[in-house]
Amino acid sequence: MKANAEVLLLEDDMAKLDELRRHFESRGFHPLTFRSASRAIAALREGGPATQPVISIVDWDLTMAPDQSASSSDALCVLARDASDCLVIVYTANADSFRVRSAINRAHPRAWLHDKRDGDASLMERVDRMLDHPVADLRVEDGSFVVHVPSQDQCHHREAVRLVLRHPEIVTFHSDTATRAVRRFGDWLARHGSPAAVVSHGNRRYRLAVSGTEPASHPGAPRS
Amino acid sequence: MQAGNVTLGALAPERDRTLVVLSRDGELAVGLRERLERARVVVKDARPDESLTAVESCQPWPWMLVGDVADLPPGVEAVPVRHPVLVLWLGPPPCGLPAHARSFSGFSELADAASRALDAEVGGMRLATGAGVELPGGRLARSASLQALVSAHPAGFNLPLAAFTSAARALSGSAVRVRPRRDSVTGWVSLQ
Repeated sequence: MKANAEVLLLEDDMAKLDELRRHFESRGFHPLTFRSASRAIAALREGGPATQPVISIVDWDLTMAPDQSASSSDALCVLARDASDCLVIVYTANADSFRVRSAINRAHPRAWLHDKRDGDASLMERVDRMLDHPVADLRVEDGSFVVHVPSQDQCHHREAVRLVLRHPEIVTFHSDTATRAVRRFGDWLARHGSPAAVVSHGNRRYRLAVSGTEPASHPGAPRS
Repeated sequence: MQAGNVTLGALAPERDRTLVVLSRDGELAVGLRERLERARVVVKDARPDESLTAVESCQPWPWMLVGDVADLPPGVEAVPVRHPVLVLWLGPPPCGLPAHARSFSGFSELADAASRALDAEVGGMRLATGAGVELPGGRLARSASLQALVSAHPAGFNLPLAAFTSAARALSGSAVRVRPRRDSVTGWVSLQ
């Protein structure tokens, strides 16, 4: 699959949504934009290859959403259950409140939190840090492929992009097509002599492991 | 459009190493999530009425059970008395927990213990990222009972030796010298 990887953006403020959309487009991703959680949920549930985001950015506070029939919490629950291979960042102005953090992580135990009070630019910076972070001799380019930097060879599959973006975490894939792509990516890494390798954890669960040292945390982690 | 049947993500099936927190308000889970490296453990925050669903959603079973409630919700006790689950409790442990459950008077001590369990190393084995145990030489052992034994070391579990069959199988043929054995004094099973 050579289509650019999707990123799901859920934000009730049209101007901010547009800003996020432009940012991800400039990075080569295909943004799926939603102002209401209900629309995002419908798109995720319809499924299909065009709604398998590798990243989701979710605004926790959707008070201006045109349709209030579902909440950001509902969208996170659906992401956790139906798109567990997607990296999720939730931003809120109430990140200090343990009740809010608890509600977010009960809806999606793997979601990353971002403090809205740090400004919109900080969210973009964090996303860029995540996207630009190399894993061994690999990096994601244009939201659609993984580059083996020494040879400049490219692996065009979103599942490869997913594994690099989620490193060092385990990613659960949801179809035989995806797991076949992951195994082909593993073969591609071996052919290129990369220190990165695909490790199977069984039950369609894989992660990228790098011989030598592993990072202490994901590059999407908040800076201390 | 209605959201329809939306189930909490904390109750969704999970195959990675999982820490289930049973509390009434979620503060304990929030604190632990901040302390622990999230690539290595998923923290599930459950209220008492969700406890059994949360525990049963962990496959094959939770790596660790943490709580601060005074009474164990019905049904939850069956899991840690049947499988090697590390149990840490803030305050007096409720009836029904296995003898290897540990109680703590403060959050910091409990969080330190959870962190040490994640970082444990025995005979060159350590917990792998996500789930399982990394054996010397880098081979991955997926055995959940071996994962529990490494985390609990040098202590162990008040369970039958048969609960550690997969750990013994994972270690057979490896260069690691320790094996799951019953301690002649305590009667507990640990890596020796």
